[in-house]
Amino acid sequence: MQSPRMKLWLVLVLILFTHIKASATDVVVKDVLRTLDGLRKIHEDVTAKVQMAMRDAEQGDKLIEAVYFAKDLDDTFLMVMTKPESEKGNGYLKSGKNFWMYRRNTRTFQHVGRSESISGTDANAGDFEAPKYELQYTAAKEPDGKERVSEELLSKVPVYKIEIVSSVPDVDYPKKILWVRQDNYLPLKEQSFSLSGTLMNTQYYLKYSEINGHYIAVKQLVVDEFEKGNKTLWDITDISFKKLPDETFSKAYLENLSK
Amino acid sequence: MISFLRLLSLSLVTFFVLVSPACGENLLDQVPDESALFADESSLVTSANPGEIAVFGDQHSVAFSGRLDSFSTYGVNRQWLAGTGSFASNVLLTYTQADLFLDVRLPKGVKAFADVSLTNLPAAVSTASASTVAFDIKEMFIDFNLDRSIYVRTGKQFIQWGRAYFWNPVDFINREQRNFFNLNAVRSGVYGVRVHAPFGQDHNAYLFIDMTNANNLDDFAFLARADWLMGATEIGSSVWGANQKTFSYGLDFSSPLWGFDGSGELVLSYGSNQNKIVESGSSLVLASTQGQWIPVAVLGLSRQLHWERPNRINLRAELFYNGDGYGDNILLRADKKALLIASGLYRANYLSKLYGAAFVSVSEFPGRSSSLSFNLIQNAIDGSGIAVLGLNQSITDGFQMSPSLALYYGDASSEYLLSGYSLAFIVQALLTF
Repeated sequence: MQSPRMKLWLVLVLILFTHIKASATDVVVKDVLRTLDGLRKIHEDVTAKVQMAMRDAEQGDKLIEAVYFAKDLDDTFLMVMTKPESEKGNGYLKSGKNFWMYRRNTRTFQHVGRSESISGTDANAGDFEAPKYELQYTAAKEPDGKERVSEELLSKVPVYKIEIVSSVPDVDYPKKILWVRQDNYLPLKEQSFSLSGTLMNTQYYLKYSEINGHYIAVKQLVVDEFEKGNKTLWDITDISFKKLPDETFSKAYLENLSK
Repeated sequence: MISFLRLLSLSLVTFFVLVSPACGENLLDQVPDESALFADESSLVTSANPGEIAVFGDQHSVAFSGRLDSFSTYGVNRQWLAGTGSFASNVLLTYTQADLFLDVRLPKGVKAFADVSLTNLPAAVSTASASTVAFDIKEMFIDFNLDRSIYVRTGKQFIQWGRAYFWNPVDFINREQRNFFNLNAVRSGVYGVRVHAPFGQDHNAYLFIDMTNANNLDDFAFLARADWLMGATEIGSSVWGANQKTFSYGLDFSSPLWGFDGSGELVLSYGSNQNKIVESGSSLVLASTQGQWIPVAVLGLSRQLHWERPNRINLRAELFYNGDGYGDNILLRADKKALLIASGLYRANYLSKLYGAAFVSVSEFPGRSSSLSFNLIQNAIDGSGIAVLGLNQSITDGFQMSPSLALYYGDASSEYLLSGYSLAFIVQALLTF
């Protein structure tokens, strides 16, 4: 038999627990997206080597390598493929809303929309720009209007699990689930879903490099959930933040780097 | 003791350095275990350790690479298929072509490039007196630049200016047109000097001096071009001229249009540099059109669609108006047809005034490492066309097979029935190294 005092304590603890629980999940998705966009926007010029080791269940392994130059402040980048031989010399130049593909076989610059795939992979120009989650996605809502956010442990790391849906048409996947660290909102895991709701891929952000309070995801593993057995491991190495001359970001320089 | 610890540390470091490349392999080999992936929280973020990247364009290097194309076509004659022709009217054409690339790099963006092409024909195809090996230098040029402000390329080079996919009227330079059956084939260049001055990403100016047929300074042909951005639209203008030739003026654009990537080219010339067959009284003569503006234009739309995966379906369509082409089907008259062939004036896909083409491809279909394509070209004046259903199967990295089936349709006296084929089976094998 519990005393009235005991009951009062229990009610207080329950209220306190509920309050703590509510405040812990009371993160606003828009704020998280804005923060993680900001964290991953590097306010430096970047030169790096990009390596994509692809495991294909049918074809075996394929290694794609590229040299990447970026002027992050104005969303400009230039990338030229260095491996494999069939892709070597193909390149990409992005400036604001304009995106050019250079094909060394036909020696043509093709001026296209931003969603064009890179070297036949699942990657596109958006994967090489600063992320724009805040502009492209919004929180998925529960029937009662609450944002779909929960707390979890990813291995030993406390994370928020956030479900977001696209707010603009020009995105690769209309729905994503992000697992972001609770302490700094950096994403550790991301799942992408097709319009039909099928899980298409799971992306693990395995390592970040920090520069002046901003972060580059230097190692990522992308697991193809649609074609089982296919995986891509991204490695970004030889990062340099040396100032790049404006002349780097020109068709002429891309053509010169190409074959 | 200290030495032992140092030795132990060194051994451990060496061990981890040696096994670290295999870590990537392991990640690809295993089913991801999230507990293991994020077990060491401290390793998830590291300080950036900026280094100096050595870009391959800034180093001394010599690289050899190449591609080997094996191309086999079996053309099935229309009459044989109808039971009125002989089996001998079917044609087997097979050849192997090697493109060997030499790529030499020096610091400051200086480079040399050569594409030496060898085509090997079976003895049955080559004439008795001709060699079974054809030799061509498709490109051989040197590149240098002045402080990345002006880029110069001198030698035999392939340049394609213009934004459309299949027809490029503003491509005033190239002799070799794009091959409908092998759209990504490496084409042979022209001899000359090109100067390219970029002004950021937004503006470019070019000058090309074509020396292909030049014995003296007044034999040069020249092409000047500028392109610039206006928002998401890129516009180019160009002019081509040569001594005692009619000048041509070009305008082209690429821009988002109604949710598509749009592109277009327009060329105007006051008269033509190409001869045509014209009737003079009761005889046929060759003469070029003069004294009037001749427009040549192409409009193209393309779009990539999502099908479970991003960008899996690629759609492209082009409409081509050739103001210098024939407005009627001249192949209906045997004398005109004979003269067209004998005079060497026939250019495939440029004979008539109006054409259309569509290119559809679905990547990762029917299998993950294959793609399916359907290409169609039609002469809108005589109603003939070619439809090609193709499969591209990547066997391994650097090797692919592409079988395709071409269907020729239209009247017997029409452009795409000139070959006499009704069907063609094509198998291409491409190896890159």
